[in-house]
Amino acid sequence: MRSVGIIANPGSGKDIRRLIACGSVFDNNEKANILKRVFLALDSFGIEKVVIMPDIYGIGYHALEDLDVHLSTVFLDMAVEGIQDDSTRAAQIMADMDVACIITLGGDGTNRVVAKSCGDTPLLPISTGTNNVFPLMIEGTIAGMAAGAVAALSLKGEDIAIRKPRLEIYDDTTLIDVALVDVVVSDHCFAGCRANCDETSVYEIYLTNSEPGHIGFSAVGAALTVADADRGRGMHISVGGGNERVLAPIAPGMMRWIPIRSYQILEPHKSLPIKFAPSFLSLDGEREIDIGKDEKISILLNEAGPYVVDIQKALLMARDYVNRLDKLSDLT
Amino acid sequence: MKFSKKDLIKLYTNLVRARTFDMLCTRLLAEGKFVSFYHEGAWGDAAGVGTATFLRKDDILYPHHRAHGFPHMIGKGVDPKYYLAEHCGRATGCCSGVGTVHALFEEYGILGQSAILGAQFTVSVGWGLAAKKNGTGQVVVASFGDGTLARGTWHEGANVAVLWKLPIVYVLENNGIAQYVSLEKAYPLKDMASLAAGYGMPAVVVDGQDIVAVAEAVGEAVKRARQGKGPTFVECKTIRVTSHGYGSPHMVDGEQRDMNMVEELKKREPLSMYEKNLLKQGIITKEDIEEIAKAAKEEAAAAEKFAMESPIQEDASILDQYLYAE
Repeated sequence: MRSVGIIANPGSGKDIRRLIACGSVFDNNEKANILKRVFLALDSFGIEKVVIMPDIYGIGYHALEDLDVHLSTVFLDMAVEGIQDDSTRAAQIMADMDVACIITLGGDGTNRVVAKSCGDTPLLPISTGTNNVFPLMIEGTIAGMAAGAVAALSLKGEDIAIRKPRLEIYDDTTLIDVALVDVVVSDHCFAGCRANCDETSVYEIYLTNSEPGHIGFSAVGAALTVADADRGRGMHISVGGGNERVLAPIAPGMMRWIPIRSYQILEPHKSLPIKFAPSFLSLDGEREIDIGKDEKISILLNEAGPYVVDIQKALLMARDYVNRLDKLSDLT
Repeated sequence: MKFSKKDLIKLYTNLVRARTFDMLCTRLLAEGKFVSFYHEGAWGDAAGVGTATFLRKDDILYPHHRAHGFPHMIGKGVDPKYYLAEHCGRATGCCSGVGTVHALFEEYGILGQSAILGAQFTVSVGWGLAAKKNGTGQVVVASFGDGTLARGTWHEGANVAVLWKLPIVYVLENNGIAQYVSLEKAYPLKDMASLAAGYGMPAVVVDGQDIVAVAEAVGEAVKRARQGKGPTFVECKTIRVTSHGYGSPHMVDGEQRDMNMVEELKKREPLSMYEKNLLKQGIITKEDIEEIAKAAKEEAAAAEKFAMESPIQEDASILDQYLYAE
C-alpha cells in the first residue's frame, strides 16, 4: 500500500488581505484540527503510512497529539526555514518517495510552490488560504477519505486525477517560475507585504482559465464575455483605458471595477513577452518577481501542469473499496 | 500601498541612522558612559523604523524597549541626541537625566514608558479614547515584543479597544525569545495574530525583516484607525541575534544559544537586504549610500559630543518636578 504525503503551510491565511480586504485569519491550530480529521479518515481506510513535511509551527505534531490511530507517521528529515522553499523541497522528496498523493493545506500560493516540484504526483489541495481558486473548500475528513482511496487502490494519473494547466515564466529561455492561476504584471517595485490587491497598479493579467467562481485578479477573466467553449482556456488581458470595464472580486469582500483595454485567448505553448519593465510579477496573488529594465521575461501556458485528485471520482471508488472491505471482513 | 522614491529613501535613511545609534549605544555602554543598561537591537530594527516613519507628528507612539526605541523615535522624527544624553544621565536629556531609558517627547506623542513592560496596552486604551473623542484622526501605535504580550494587560486592553472601536495599532515585534525564554516554552501557538483575531481584531503577519512590508502593513492599519474602523494587530516576525541585554548571558531556555542558528538568522539582515533591492530598482546609487552612511555617522558623533559635554544631572529635586504638578 502506498503512503500519503502532507504539506501544511503555517504561513497561509495571515497576510495583509486581513486589513485591506475582509480576509479571515486562518489559525494554525485549526489547520492542525483539519489534519487530525484527515488522519482519522486515512486510518479508517487502513492506510499504513503518512509522510509529513515538518514546519516551523509543527502543524503535523499538533495534529497527532492525543490521536489514537494505527497508521505510522514519518516526518521528512529536512531542515525547515519557514520559507516557500520548504514546501517545494518537501514536494520533491515526496514525489521521489512515490507517495500516492500529496494533501496540501494552504492557498493558491502554497499549491504553486508545491506544484513546482511534485511532478506527476496528484495533489489534494485543502483550502486554508485567502484567495482560493486552486485549492478546494473541502472538509478534512472527506479529503482524507478521497486520499485514502487513492492510496489504498494505488490509483495514478488520469485514472483518478485531472491535469491542470500552469503558466510558465521564462527569463529569456530559462524557466524561472510557474503559476497555477494567474500572473499579474504591475508597477510595484517591492514585494513588501506580497499580496497584490491594488487594481490601479495592474498592467496585464495572464490566466490559466477564466471560469466563473474565481476570486483575485483571475476573476477579471471570468467577468469578461467570452464564448462558453473558451471558458476553460487561458487568457491574456491588458488593463487600463479602453471602453470596457468589468466588476470583479479581487480579494475577499473587495469588489472593483477594472478597465479593460483588450483581451485575447492565450494559446498553449505560445510565448508572450512582458511589455512593461521595470515592473513586478505577482504569481497566484503574491508579488514574487521584480523585472529589471533590460530583462526579457515571457509567459507561456502549458496544459501539462499538476494533477489534482478528482474528489467525486475518488469518493465513489472509496465507497466501493469500503464495501468490498466490509464484505471481506464479514467472510472472515 | 505604494511608496514614492522619497518615502523609500526616507525609510532607508532612518534605518541607517537607527543602526548607527545602536552601535553607538553599545560602545558607550561598554565604555561605562551610560548610567543604565542597553538592549541591542541590530538585525531587529526594521520593524521599529518601518512602523514609525510615516506616522503623524501628533500620533501617540509607545516604542518597543528593544534598542530602547531608538528605531521608533528616529522614525517618528525625534532628534536622538536628547535621548542619548538621557542614557548618560545628563541634564540635557529628554527627562533631564533622571529617566535613563525612559523617553519623553511630548510634542512627538512619545509620552513615557513603564519599567514594567505591558503597561502600554492599557494606557493606549486611554489615549485611544482621547484620540477618538478629539476627532482629528490621531492614532495610537503601541510597539512591544512577544514577552510583553504575555501580560494580562494585553487582554484587558485588546478587549476594550475592540469594544470601543479605538484608533489603536498594536505592533508586535516577535523575535521568538522573551528575555531568556523561547516562544515555544511560553505560548501554545506561534502566530500571536491569532490571539488578536480571537477578539475580532483584524490581524496580519508580516516579515519584520522587510522594512517595506512593515511600513505597508502598519500604513494600512493606521489608515483603518484614522477612518474610525478600530484597532488592528500587526505581527512582525523578526530576529534577535544578540543576548537579551548587552553583557547578559546569551542563553535561551536555560542553555547557551546555538550560535550556528544565530549565524543563520544573521543572513536575514534587514539593512543590507533593503539596500540590495534599492540598488536593483535604481532608487539609490552607491554614492547615495555612502552619503547617507556618512551623514548618520556625523549625526551620531555630534550626539555623543552633545551628551558628553552636557552637565551630569545632580539636582535630586528634579524628580519632584516630574512627579508633582502645582
